[in-house]
Amino acid sequence: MPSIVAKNADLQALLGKDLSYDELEGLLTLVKGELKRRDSNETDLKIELNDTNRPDTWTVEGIARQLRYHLGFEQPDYNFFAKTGKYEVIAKKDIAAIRPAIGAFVVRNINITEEVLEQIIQTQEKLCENFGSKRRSVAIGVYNLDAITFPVYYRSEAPEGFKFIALGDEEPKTLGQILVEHQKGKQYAHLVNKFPRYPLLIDAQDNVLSFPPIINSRLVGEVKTDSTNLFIEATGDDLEKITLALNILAYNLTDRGGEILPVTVRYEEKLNGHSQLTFPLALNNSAIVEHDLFEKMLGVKLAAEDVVAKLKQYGCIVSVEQGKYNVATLSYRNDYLHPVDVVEDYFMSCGYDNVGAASPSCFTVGKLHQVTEFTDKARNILVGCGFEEVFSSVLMSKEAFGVKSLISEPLVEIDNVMTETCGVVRNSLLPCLFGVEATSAKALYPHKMFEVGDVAIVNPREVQGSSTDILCAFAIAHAKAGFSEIHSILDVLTYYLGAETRLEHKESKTFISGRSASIFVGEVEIGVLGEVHPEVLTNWDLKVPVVACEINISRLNTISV
Amino acid sequence: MGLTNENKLLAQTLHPLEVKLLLAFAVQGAFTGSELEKQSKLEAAQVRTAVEWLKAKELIELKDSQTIVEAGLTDLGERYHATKIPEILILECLKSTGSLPIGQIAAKINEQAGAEVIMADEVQPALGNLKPMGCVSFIEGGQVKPESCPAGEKELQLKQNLIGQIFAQKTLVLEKCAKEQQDIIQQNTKKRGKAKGVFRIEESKINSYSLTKQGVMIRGILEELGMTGEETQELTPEMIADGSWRTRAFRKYNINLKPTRSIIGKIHPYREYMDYIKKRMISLGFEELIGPLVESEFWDMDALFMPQFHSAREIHDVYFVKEPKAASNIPEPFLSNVAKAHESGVAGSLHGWGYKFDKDKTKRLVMRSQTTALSARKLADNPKIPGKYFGMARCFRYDQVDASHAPDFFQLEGIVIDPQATFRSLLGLLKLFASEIAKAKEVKFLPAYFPFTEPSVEVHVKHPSLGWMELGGAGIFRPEVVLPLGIDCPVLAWGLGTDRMAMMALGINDIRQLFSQDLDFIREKRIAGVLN
Repeated sequence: MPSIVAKNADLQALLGKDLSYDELEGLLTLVKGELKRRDSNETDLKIELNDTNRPDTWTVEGIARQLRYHLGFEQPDYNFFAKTGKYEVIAKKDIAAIRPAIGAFVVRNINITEEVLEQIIQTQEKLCENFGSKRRSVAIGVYNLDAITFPVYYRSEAPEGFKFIALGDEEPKTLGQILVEHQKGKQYAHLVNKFPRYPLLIDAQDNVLSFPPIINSRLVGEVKTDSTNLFIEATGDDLEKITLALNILAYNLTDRGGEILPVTVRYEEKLNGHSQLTFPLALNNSAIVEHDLFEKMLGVKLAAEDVVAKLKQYGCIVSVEQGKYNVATLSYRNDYLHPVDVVEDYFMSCGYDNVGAASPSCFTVGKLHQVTEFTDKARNILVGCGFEEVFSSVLMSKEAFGVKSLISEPLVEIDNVMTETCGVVRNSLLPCLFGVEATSAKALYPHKMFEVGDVAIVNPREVQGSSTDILCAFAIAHAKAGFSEIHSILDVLTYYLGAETRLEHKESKTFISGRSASIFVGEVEIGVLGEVHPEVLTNWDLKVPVVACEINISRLNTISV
Repeated sequence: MGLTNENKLLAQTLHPLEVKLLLAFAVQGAFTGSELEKQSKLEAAQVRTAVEWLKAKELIELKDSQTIVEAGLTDLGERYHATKIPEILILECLKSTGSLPIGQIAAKINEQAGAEVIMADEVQPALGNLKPMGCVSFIEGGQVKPESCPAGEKELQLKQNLIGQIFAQKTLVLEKCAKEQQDIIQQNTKKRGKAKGVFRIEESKINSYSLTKQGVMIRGILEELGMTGEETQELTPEMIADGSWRTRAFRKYNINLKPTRSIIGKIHPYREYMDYIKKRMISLGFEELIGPLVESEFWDMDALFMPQFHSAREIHDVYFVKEPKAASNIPEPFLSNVAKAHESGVAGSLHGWGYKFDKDKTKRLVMRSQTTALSARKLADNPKIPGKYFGMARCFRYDQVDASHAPDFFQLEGIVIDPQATFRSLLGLLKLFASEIAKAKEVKFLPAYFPFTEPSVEVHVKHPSLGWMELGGAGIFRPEVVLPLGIDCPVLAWGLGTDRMAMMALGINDIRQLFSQDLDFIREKRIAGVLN
């Protein structure tokens, strides 16, 4: 979830109205925003924005725009799509296989204050990192227009070929050196280093603009507060995304008083079938919505005028044709996938607290899953036997099984392990109980405990390679704990669960030889029990004898049913 | 008078030792431990215990504390009491034999006594004492012979008697002894540098106690009630059988003593909380869903219309399974339907996500990252219409474990499949959850974003002490979710954050403690009362 920081005064200036924190908090629902810091002494606002599909709302200008619509305020003239311009970018053939999409526009006569610069940088960062999948889909460069000689070329370059001084560097370096030595180079190297040649943006006089998506040049790519004319480009792997990102910046900079001029990009290798596109590029974010859909989704009758008014108040352009609404938005949005998205705009414009709640009327029978009922029965019996329930994590260390508990059955392992303590999915609850015992030496004895819960049992015949079974393990720990004590608990548990069990000798490293058994119901093995091997006790640093039993509740349940 | 009743109860619940000791006191005067011992006929240790108890209850108080010097017997002294002192033994022996060589005295004495009553090395020092007293003389050939010495014998007898007296009384207070007794004690006390001594000198404190005003009153009540401390402690089967209980008085107990807490079998407090939530869900007409811990990306994410390039699907957000990496099969027609929904949408769509759906990626196995996977599976598995389902299941997110992130956590999610369902009925349902599950009176709804619902809503409730907090998120499943799974009617989807509610109910603020491995901690934690 992106969050942004903005100056309260800047937001109010963009809005044209002073708002109290409470008012602002209420209005932020229009952009699915939450005020995270609200301290009247603070001049900074921290706002979390929750709509992944509305990156325009991740900017202070976008927030102000949405609020201006709601408050009925006038909007600037956004019609920069009609303009023509002389600026040109040529995307060379050789870039198509590396990072094909590029778009750009120019902004003139903008007053870049500290705050404006900060907001441009923040917007650039949110659009690249969050929306642009960490620069993979979208990377944006902002340059000093006056330092550029057009046309600008977007082409590939050998890693050891061209040298230029990158932003933050003092010495000219090759692209290859930048990837290895520059902090941004190291951070984003994976986006380009699988290609033999890297992207380069360079002007007609061989001045490098940038090494997209890594770093700008110091010469052209350093924007300061005295700049008034900017060249802004976006590269990536997705034309639609770079179009939207550039549009958002164009709308935002218009809000800041800048004049947007178009840039035409010629693609030597066609991009999505286009050999030439001019940016900003209008997007078609529109839908035809039946009146019925609003009523069906809300659950009440609605007046058409109200629907139109509320949608317009949300910034939508609405026309009505034969009982259907033709709804479109300006090109800073591209989020309509289905008419239901328009309906949500309408609900938000109304305010969720104003649409009314209806009492549920649908009658259904509630019930626990049958296996939960069975599991709960086992839990109740064990509580009656004086056992205390414990509750552990499903993700555990691999060491807890094979090395410490001498359990040899295979485990479902995590591929992208974060910490070794969460490296495998448990296939037995016994290590959970040993873990509790190891932590609880100072708790009054005897210890009688149990755990019931999900485990993953490796089984190649299962679609997912494992089955999720519910196991029930219980253990007794005290100076004289012995086989017959745990056996008697198993006996009473299975008796009340309605199963006839028998034991067969089973050798396992977890238990003392000759003092452990497999538990059978008919021919189906449902569990094990025994006196825990002193080797295991020592591994867990346990000081008293432990006897333990584990049964597969899921398996027993299928037999008992 | 209230006071009287309280005092009466206090008197009745005194321990038998306390009763006996209180009665041993006279109303006035101070008494030492040994005096109380005699009076009460209790053992010294019992007196000490009862004195401490009564002092704590402020029924008696320390009146005086004196340091006294007492003489007792050493081991040697006790032996001399049993055998007589060597000087007397030697004199008696010599008197019966006339004279003896020094070297044979010890053997002769022991022979006469029929036991070893004197050590050979005790003879020489004893003779050294007897000679100046004029009781023995040494003659030719190293012989010793007895002399008549009434004064000396008297002195020896005095010493022997003193030993006897101290043995009988255990100790003698030094300053109460006669002058000559004190001299004997001083001469024969084991001192530093001297190997042996008959007596030992001890300094000790003698405390004396007297009844407090309250003590006098309680003692009076004891007498009035006729209590002796001999009241019956326990009812036995024999008393029931022979009817002797009829003639017995039973000691009343002090019921205000805190018992030690029993270790009992019990449900884990977090499970108790979850059992409660499940019960509430059932009461609201929801049927429970269960599902696998290891899920394919298909059910976990793709079926929920999360685009495969979604930022929450990357390696740093989800736990991937090492082996096998992929599910063996994704059932049709769901796979094709979902793929098409992602690529170009469903009936009524404007467009899809506009990318090529990767049918290998969809099989990739992950640890279930959201309970919504259970809902997706149910939609594809002939659900009842109308039908209401919930799942309370473990989910896994690739988060650094800290006070607010456990390696796995529980989500409570569910769906309402209902041809009549609307956004207003969703809000109504959420209000019901707020009142039935969170016990909140005030609710507010905020627009939210989830990839699988449109519209989406967050429900916030007002907690009595913590203020507004998020209870959960909800929405109407997108057509791109339900249509590919074969459902053509509105499906309300909701999820509630129960971990936080559980933590509040249990009074903990570190989520890891929900999975504490410390039995003491588990024993201490409780859900006080019932949650409703």
